[in-house]
Amino acid sequence: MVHLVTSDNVEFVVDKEVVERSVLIKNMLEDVGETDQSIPLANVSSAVLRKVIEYCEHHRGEPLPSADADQNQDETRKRTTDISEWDQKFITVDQEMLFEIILAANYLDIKSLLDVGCKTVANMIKGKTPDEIRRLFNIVNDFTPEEEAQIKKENEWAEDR
Amino acid sequence: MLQQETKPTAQLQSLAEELQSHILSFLPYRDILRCTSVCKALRQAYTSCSELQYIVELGGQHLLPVPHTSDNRTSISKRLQLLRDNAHAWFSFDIHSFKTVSIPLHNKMWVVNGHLCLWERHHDSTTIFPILPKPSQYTIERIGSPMSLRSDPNAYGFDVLMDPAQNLIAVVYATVDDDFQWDDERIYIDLGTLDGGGIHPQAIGRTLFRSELPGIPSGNRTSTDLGKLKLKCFGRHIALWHSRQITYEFFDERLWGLQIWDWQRSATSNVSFGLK
Repeated sequence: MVHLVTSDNVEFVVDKEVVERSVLIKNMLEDVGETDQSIPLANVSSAVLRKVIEYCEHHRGEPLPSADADQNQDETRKRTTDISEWDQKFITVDQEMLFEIILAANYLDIKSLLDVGCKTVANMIKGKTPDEIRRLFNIVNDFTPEEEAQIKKENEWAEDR
Repeated sequence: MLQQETKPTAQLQSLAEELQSHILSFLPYRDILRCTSVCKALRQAYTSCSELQYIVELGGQHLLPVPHTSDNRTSISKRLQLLRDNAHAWFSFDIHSFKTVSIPLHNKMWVVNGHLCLWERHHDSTTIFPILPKPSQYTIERIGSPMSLRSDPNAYGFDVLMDPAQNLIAVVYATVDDDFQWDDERIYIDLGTLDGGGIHPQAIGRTLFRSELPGIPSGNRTSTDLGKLKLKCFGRHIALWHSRQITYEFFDERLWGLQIWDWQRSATSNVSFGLK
């Protein structure tokens, strides 16, 4: 069992096999060896870590993507924003939690979870106009009207196809 | 009053640039471009990520694979190369260089090293056109006297290779002895220079001989039918691929053979493979 402590000081006790889906923690445990000391995760809150552990529990035992398989998988992975049914349900959370999960997956180095999060955001963006994207993510348009006109002109070729 | 320290809420525009570009990398090229006009942060994520620019460039040229088709195997780098080749071909296309060529009737035609090669086998005539500006600027026309390459008028089963870089032409053919014993079928490769008659200066001689392939005992077969002959040249080496149907008393078998000659060193091949 591995002890994890979140930024809001909550301790989680998790199966080694489950928590080792995080490459960060896996490497840590390999460096440190067997230890009862808890691992502090200063960047992850308990609410987020709960979700991350839920994900790792569900996917326990699945093969981890190896470093060189990555290159090959990249091609096919990029072609699709398909998300499996369970992952889809799992990632149906509010926007803030979605980005928190992406940040945590990136920090903990859990590639499959990072991709699920990023694909979800990509799916939200897909087919929307810049204005709709701004409204969806509460983004302020920080371009000057001149810059905006310039970009619009640059991108014109793709729009009228 | 003490200001409580609050973590800024996680949002799309406050993610690290790498994460933003990772998200965009899942999008079709049109959506990626739209994101570049949403805000400065996303535009920056695009302009500093070459992978996204690749997707847009290739997508715009319809060179990205379409999901659920069989064309998902060509890698991005290969597609980029195709794109560059395409662009390069059009830029270097000389509209004044149009030329109509007549293609001989009994011909073989293929492209090698940017040259179009034509071969008319009844007259042993060859024509080679440069079709890309670089390789060589002139057309080679070689109207050999008939049979100048093949010494046997009854020869059958042909293939020819031409290598403009080495000034080499090679013709492979099969022939049998006059008393028509199929067992005596022989395969020869005649070598010549592209720009004239005579023996190629680098060649070991005029003809390369096929040696008997392993695994074909000559005693108990009743007939042998030559299938295809194919020649390829790799610098100093010539490879011959051929197939043949061998009929024994009670069954047939098909054999494939590959032989490789070092045509500058030895007239008999030292490498041969047989495959049933």
